Amino acid sequence: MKTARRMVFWLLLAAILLVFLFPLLLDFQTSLKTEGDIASFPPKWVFTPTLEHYENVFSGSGYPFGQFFLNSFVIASGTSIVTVLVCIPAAYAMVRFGVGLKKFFSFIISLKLLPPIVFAIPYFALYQFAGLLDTRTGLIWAAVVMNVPLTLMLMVGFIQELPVEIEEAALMDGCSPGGILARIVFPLIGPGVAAAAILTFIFTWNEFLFVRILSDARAMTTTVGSTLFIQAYGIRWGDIAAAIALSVLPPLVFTFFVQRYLVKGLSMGAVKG
Amino acid sequence: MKHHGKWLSALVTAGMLVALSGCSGSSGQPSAPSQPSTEPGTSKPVEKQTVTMLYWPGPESDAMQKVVDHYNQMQGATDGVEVKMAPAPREGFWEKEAAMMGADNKDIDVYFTASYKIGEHKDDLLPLDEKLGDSLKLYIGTTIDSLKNGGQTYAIPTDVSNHFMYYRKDLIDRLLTDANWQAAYKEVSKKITGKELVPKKPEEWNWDDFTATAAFFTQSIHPDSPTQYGTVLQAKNLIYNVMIWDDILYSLGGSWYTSDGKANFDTPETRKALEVYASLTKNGISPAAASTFEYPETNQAFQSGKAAMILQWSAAYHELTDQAKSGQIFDKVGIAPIPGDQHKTHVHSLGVGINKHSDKQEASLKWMKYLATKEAMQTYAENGGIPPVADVLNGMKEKRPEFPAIAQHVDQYGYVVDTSEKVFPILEVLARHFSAVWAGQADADAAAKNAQAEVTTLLGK
Amino acid sequence: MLYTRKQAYWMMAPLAVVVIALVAFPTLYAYFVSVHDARLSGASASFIGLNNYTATLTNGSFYGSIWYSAKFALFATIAELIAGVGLALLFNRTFRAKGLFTSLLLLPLMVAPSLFALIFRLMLNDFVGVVPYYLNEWGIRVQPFDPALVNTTLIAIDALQWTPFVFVIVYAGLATIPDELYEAARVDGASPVQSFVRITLPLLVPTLAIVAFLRGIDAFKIYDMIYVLTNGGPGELTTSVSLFIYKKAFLEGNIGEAAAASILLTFILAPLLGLAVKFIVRRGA
Repeated sequence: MKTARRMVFWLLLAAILLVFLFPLLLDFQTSLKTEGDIASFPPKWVFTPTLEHYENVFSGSGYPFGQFFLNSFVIASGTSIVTVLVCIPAAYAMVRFGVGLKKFFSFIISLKLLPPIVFAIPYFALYQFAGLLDTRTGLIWAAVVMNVPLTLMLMVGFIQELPVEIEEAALMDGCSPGGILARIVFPLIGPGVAAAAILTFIFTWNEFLFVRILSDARAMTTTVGSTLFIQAYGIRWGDIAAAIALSVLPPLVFTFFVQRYLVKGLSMGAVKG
Repeated sequence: MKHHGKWLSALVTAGMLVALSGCSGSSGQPSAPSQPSTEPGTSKPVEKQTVTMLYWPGPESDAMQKVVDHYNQMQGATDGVEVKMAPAPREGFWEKEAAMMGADNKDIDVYFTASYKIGEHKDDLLPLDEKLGDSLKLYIGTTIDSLKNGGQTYAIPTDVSNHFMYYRKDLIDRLLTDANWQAAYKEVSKKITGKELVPKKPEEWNWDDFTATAAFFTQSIHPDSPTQYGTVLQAKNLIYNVMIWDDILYSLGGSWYTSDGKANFDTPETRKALEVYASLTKNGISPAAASTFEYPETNQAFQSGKAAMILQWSAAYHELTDQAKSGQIFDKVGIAPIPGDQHKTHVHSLGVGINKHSDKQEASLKWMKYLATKEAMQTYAENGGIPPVADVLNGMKEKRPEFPAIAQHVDQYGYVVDTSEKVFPILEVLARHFSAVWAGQADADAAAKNAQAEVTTLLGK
Repeated sequence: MLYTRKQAYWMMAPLAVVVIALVAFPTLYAYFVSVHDARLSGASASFIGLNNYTATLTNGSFYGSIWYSAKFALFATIAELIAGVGLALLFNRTFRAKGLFTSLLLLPLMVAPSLFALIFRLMLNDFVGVVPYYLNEWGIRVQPFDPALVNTTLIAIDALQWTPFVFVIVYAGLATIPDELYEAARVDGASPVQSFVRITLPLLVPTLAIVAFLRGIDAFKIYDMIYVLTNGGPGELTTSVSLFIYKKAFLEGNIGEAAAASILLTFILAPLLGLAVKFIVRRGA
């Protein structure tokens, strides 16, 4: 009976994973096919794999894909760090002092309601003026604004869960507010901070609209860079599949190592409301 | 807990370093020339001006890159100019360029433009007639017209686009000779178009012939058909698809404007042209999913041998006749003019013009002068572009059999729909209303009336 | 109270500076543009008062797109909540290589929505796509992009991408429910279904509310995927409000009306926001 139940469980798990991973597996398979094999029908499951699309992505396309990867990495990590660093003290002040918990917090959450397209045109004008067009710095700031609402929401939730007594004791011992924040609050909500940083990293890595409008070649990320293979006439499916496969890899590796922090962090309190 | 603290502080420190390097890396290096090999180095302090040209990616930019390389190595050295191409994604290209122009950007010296954009772009581009003079005579007349606005030429054409009807030679040949097929054809044509038709050569088709032949090659109507669908429309809600549909409108004698420049969509021709698409969809001659199709999907349908005819851009010929890409049909591809009582094909050019706000207009002009030579256009054609120069096109018959046909069709059947700044907004209105009719989701009469009303408002402003 | 008000303001300062610097300008700009006849082509924009607002408010397509976004958000969120909770329950036990499987399940989140949609554009293609081929082989004659089915297809794609997000949050939420509660229920003789309904579900409600809010808002804003797959068509069958604004601004070149539509949208969504904030900070400080 127990073995039977376990069998069912594993079969179910396998079926679910197959459904959710099918698009990516197929993408990976496509990236190894020649254009002729991609267009052939019925679909070919046995074929001679080729690495030509990966070569195209890096050298044959004329686009600096290595640079795109570096940009994605810098922008995604930079955004995660800046977002977390500005949100922690603010969330702390909101929770422990009640400052801006009504109006300012609502205002920030309201940013999440607006479709990003609304910001696209003014940002272009602003960045043009400030010389931030096609810079990683500019893209980091734009991404920070997009990610602050969720991070702040999570942080407020985490800090609400903390018992105030520890901090009061520290205060008695003569800790400065900055010291309390750095030495007591930060370690306590550590996993939660990590979860917020991971989510921000992933969302920024995948951001499309702003990067498309605010960058050219120097600051372009892999996500937008991959669409360079959609051309006036047709889509280079093989190249685009290779680019997608490559662009998924870094966040995948990253998540593989930090996924337990994601779960641990999210279960810290924010999601309990 | 301590464990997390350590882990996190490591992450934060590492991230900080990355972020810092990101800031200095992005602000420190202004566009370095992409070809260090052509750099003279420190020993020879020649002032070389870098002209940055925006060009959209694709076969056009691959070909243009070769012209650019050629120029940088030879003529550019004399001119003291180095041209650099800025890549930009194809998706959202025009939106981005518009944002750049709106902000009077100076980083781009030469803008990419097109017939349907020239009206919008003209305020940011330099008129070229006086500056280039006779060089403009190099091009096929309609293509220069397609980049004119208010009598001024704002760009030089580099690439020309028109439509062909692609058909399966093997199938049509058999239809024209096989008596059994012809008998079946009669029945099918009676059923679908209400007329008993006889198979004709593709060059002689009107829309009834097209519909009847497409029905004949549709398995759900004629089970013995070797192809699943007669045709596969590009019916996605997309402005480029309106350009193809326009061919039907114009071939039936319709047009966007009346002779005094008013909107002209509330007409029998519009309704009839809409019905041609709608009936293909309703009868299952073109698949229902075609309402999400654009260029690549329609090409794939033809490449996989599932469609007998398609209306498609001229650029597809090269791909459809390539054995590696189109193994099943590469040797069976025929081209004919777009059907109709009169054959019509939309013509537009892609081109380049000089940014009015650029600080390097003189240097840009030197590059443009080179670009407007037969030599440059020959290089462009040999590397996959389609330059609107009749001599070059006709001279490449061996390597690109479709080139002479392009030159001929553009000249003989080509029409330029409009080059005002309203083209895109109008195309958008038409795409919105007409794509619903194409998919059988809306009524042709209502769509024609709505389009008429909205376009009239647009023109009025 | 632990600190002085002054200290609290200092802590708020970094966030306030960043947000105000990066939001104030775009917002003012949007208001400015919304009362001008602003065009993408940059030609002179004259003041036209509230014309852009009346034009938007009398445009049936504007309401249509909001209605579409709302419907899309509703169905996508429901589908993702159900699937996500199911998955979380499945994973809420110990089994071998759980970490690896959790990571694998999170994979769809790693793909940018625009690129994810591109994969489906190939995968669901009638002529070379794998899915229609096998459906056809098994005698199921469906075209996923048939206008009659296209919305189901779009929601399914959205669900394939975002169910993992719901999963990870709900799974984290499940982890916070103390085991003692389940043990007590078992002692009382409750079946697994009963303990799910009586213990899990009530304790999960706040988590579900937050995840529904997050997913609902994002699904409401849907843009990338629809842009790649249907571009809002046929007609306006799949035009979301983001796509409506995008087309107004960048295809019709009417920045003024696009800005007016954006501003109106914030007013329409404001009551919803009030509710959400009330829920999130209901425990207050």
